[in-house]
Parts: sequence; C-alpha cells; structure tokens
Amino acid sequence: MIQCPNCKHQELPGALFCSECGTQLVTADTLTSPLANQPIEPLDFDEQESNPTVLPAQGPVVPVKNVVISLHIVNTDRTMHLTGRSEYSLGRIARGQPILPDFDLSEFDAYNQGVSRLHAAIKVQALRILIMDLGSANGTRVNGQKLVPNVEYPLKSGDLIALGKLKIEFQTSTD
Amino acid sequence: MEHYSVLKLPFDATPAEIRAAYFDAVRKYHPDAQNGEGDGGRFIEVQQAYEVLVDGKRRAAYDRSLPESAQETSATQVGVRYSRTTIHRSGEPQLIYALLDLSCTRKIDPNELPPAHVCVILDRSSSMRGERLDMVRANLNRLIRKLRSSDVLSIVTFSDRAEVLVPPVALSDPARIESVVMGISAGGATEIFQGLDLGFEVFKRYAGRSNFLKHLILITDGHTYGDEERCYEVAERAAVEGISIHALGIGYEWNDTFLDRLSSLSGGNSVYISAAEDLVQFIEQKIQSLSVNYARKSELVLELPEHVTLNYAFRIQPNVSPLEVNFPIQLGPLEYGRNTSVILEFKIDQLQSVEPEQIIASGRVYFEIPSKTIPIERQFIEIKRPVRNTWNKEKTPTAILTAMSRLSLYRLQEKARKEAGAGDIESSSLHLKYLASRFMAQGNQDLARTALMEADHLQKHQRFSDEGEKDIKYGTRSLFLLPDPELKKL
Repeated sequence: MIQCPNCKHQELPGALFCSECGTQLVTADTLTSPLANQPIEPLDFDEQESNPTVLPAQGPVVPVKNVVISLHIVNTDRTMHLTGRSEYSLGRIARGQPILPDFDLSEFDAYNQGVSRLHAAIKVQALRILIMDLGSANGTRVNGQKLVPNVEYPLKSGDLIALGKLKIEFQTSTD
Repeated sequence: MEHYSVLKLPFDATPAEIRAAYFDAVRKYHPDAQNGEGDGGRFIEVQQAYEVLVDGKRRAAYDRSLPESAQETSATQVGVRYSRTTIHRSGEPQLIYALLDLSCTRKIDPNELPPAHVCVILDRSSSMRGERLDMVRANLNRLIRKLRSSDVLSIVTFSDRAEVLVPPVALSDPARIESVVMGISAGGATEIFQGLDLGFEVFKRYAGRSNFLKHLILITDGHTYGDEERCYEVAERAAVEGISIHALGIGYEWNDTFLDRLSSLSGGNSVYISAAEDLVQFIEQKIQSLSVNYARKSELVLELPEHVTLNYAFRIQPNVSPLEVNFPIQLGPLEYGRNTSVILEFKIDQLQSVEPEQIIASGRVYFEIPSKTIPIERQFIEIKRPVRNTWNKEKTPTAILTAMSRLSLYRLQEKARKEAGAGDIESSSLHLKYLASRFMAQGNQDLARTALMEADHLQKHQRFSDEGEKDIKYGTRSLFLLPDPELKKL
C-alpha cells in the first residue's frame, strides 16, 4: 500500500491520485515548462563572506532552514522576510476562505492589484529556489515572463515577480 | 441483403466470429426463439448468410462479387497508453490505468459523410411552460436552420402521453417545421418512457435509409416515476440499432443519475442546461459533430483474466461521460479529426505468475460506419504489461496524469454523493471540503465556493441540494473541456 502524504489515506500501488482528498501521488514524465530546461542557477550567495575555493563544483549546499527570503513590495518601503520553512504560499486572505496563504498581501491592495487568494508558492530546495503559479486568475510573471500554472520555475536573487499587477522584488541570503 | 451486414460482421471476420455471430442472430430471430424478436424473414437471411460465409470457397466467391469498395482498408485505429511501463509480481492488489484512443485515420471527404436523422424528444409537461419552452423553441429553430439539406429531423413531444409532432422529414421546407415548433404548448406530467419509446419507434419506422447517423436528443426538466427500467430497456435497444441518446436536463429538478445511465447505455451523454447559453452551445456542438461523424457507434468488449477487474471507465473526449462497466461498453460515435478517448482503471488482485508478461485484458472494439459497403469494422486490442519482481517508482505519462487529475475530482464528488445518499453526512462533507481545496488550488474559485456551500447545506439539511449536486458534477465534468495546461507551450 502507499500512503497519501496529505491525508494519510492508504491507496493501492499504481494509484495516481488519492481517492480521499485528490492529492497527486506521482510525478509527470516530462518537464512541462520551457524554462525548466534552462540551467538551474544555484542560490545567489554573498561571495565576500564565503570562500569560493572550498565550495563544491555545483555550489554550496546550505541547510534549507538557513535561507532567508526577502520580498520587497515595489513602490512601498516594505520588505518581508521569510525564513524557517521550505515552502511559502503567497496570496490574500478573504472571508470564508478554507486554505490561508502563508504570506498575506491584503495590506498592499492585493485585491485591486489582481492577486488571487492562493496565487503562487515559493519553494526552497537545497540548491535552488523555485516559484510556481497556483493557477491564479491573473497569472504570475517573473521578469516579465508569464509562468505556466502549476509548473515550477527557478528564481534568483534580484528577480522581479508580478502577482497580477502587484510587483515584488525577490532577494535571498543565508543566516 | 448483403451477407456480412446481416450478421453484423466485419469483412475480415474470422471463422470463430462468423459462428458466434450466427448463433447470436439465431437466438434473436428464430421464429421459436423465447425472448427474441422471432422474425421469420430475417431468420432466412441469417441462414443464407451463414451458409455462404462459413464455407471458405463460397465466401471467396461471394467476396469477389462484392463491389471493390467493400474491400477498402480500415480507417479506424485504436491506441493504448498506460500509466506504468511495468506491473509487479505481488500478493497485494495493484492498480493500472489504460488510456484508449479511438481514431479515424482517413482524411475527410465531404461527399462520404452520411446524412443524419436527428429525433428530438421534448418534454412538454406543465413545468416547461414559459421561459423554458421559449428557449427550446428558439434552439430547435437554430437546429432546423443549421442541419444539412440531406439530413432528416423528427420531433416527438410528450407529457404523460406522447405524440409525433413532426414525422421524419428532409429539411427542404424549414419554415413549415418552424411554424409547427412555435405551436408547441405545455401541459401534463412527465413520463419519459412514453416519449422515449415513441421516439425509438420513429427511428424504426423510418428504416428506409439504413445508412443514416442516428441521434436522439431527449430534452426534459423533471423526474419520471416508475418507468426508469423500461427507459433503460429502450436505451439498450437503441444502442443495438446504433442510435445514441443525448439527454438534456433543464434547470435542476431532474434526476441526473437516471439520465446519465440512460444516455451512457447508448453511447451518448447527459448535459446540464442551467442557462440558455448551455443549450445554444450543445446545439452548435452537435451540428459541428454531425458534420464530422465517421462511425455512428463504437463499442468495446473485453475479456479479463479471473484476478483482474475493470473498476471504472470514463470517456474524457468528445462527450464527457462516465461509462457503464458492462460489456459491450458503448463508446459512442467516432468523429473525423478528433479521437474518442476513454480511460480505464484496472485492479489486479494478485500476480503470482512466472510469465514475463501479463495480459490485463484482451478484446475488440467494433465500429459501425454507415458510409461503408460493409459497415462493421473490428479492431483487436490487447492490454498487457511486462511483469517485474520489484516495484519501481516511475513517472506517469502527462496525458494520463492530466486526465486523472480531473477524473479524481469527478470521482471525489461521486463519492461524496454516494455517502450523502447512504446517510454518512460527515464523510460526505469532508470529501466536499477536500474537493473545494482542489478546486481552489487549480484556481477554480467558483467551483470551490459551490462545493463549500454544498458542504454547508449538507450539514444543515442532511442531503445535497438539487442545484448544488448538478453544479458540482457538471462543473467537474466541464474541466475536461479545458485546454490541457501543458499545451500552452506549443
């Protein structure tokens, strides 16, 4: 038997989706995004602090918990720092909503900027940071490039994310 | 009459198939047959056909006497894709999915397209009065104007009794039919069997041109009581005649489970008409599909080894519908240029055999193609996989994953409906909430909201609302009509 990571329901081997909660249990065979074929950039570290000569060839392996994500809301003086988790969802909180985003953008006029309640997710992995549009109504762009929903794209420090019309500058650093 | 057609055989029928078809026909047409139709004239034709075809020499001579077009090569094709490359040897049950694609490989020749006979069976019970009947009238006129001049239309209306409003006529004088349609008035109760049975008779009586495509469109807005079983019998007979039934429910006070079963028995589907646009869309799509219709019916017969079961069958294209898991499974008409795609879920109880390969199912797909001299085509299919001792993690083909991502939601709402029906309100509302989260994650806010409101309704009233159950079911079905997200990159 296999277990659904979401609701712990037991499924027969060969099941593709959990029959209890609909969670996908397998991965697809092709990379569906055109960007996914590009070389993936390792995390952008502050090179003055780390000594490049001792680093392994593909970049430093940094424990996930040490990565700090900074999101600067463009045209405001606000920067939000996220740390300690491997995945953050971005959106806005509305009344009667069953699933809340980790990072609420309501105070930045998110509704009028076209931000969906669950708009996009940022995932932190050992060597890279990814962003995925969660099927939002108005789409997500990175540096002007529109993302295909539910497909992961690499993010690097300095990228400009647009959730609908709301622009956010992305930075990473380590503790 | 042409011998192959009498026995409903393909030109390349094997001797075993000829014998099997003969025995079937005898059981049906023998004058002394118990439950058959006892048709003496037909029985003699069956005898003659069998005597010729079963004898190799006489068959060869007969084949030479047929026009050359009878020997044209098959233009149908059946492809199988799997969710996994291998299955594994185990005492434990496992699942595997197969995606069948039926396609027509020939290019369209407009002259080759057969005309269609469309019979509309219209509920004119008192609840149809006013807006609903106006909407139907307007769309019937749309249908009348858009059908080809070679097509034939008939209209049956029913309440607690049925009458033929428009007998089968060619559409040479649309204005006259339109004026008859404008004269339909509402009144009485809803007895679907009355309408369905008369509609089926209309097809039978209009047997003059057997190579017609046959479509029966049932339009209703209400429940029928006590005659469901008789309706299913009509649907089964319709399937044999190659008539597909599309059942349209207007508003939400009709029985979707009943109309689903009724239509899927004949290869059609049920459609939810919540607003006038839905009906317009159905009619437009129907006219479009008639113009590219190649096989008027296709059916699937499978033989499964003892330890394999077919859990579920669902057509994801063109007419989205769950399928009755009883052989033959009616797969519906086949169009030029668009595949009929069906997803099958098999459960293999245990696999101890030492063979390197396991047959999960083997069988045939039959097509009935009115434009051909010998209308039946048959393709053999074998659903089989190599067997391994270990379970390897593997990636799933995108086409299957996309289809299943939608089907899993459809089955989740089915589960919730079933649980609510059995009185398990807690599980049902939990599944509705899971469904809502999935809709939300896919950006389907409206459906997510509907599912949550329904969970709420369920807690308060211990049952689904008529409206909510249909909004969720047909809303989930409509997800299959969305373009696949991965196609956007092309």
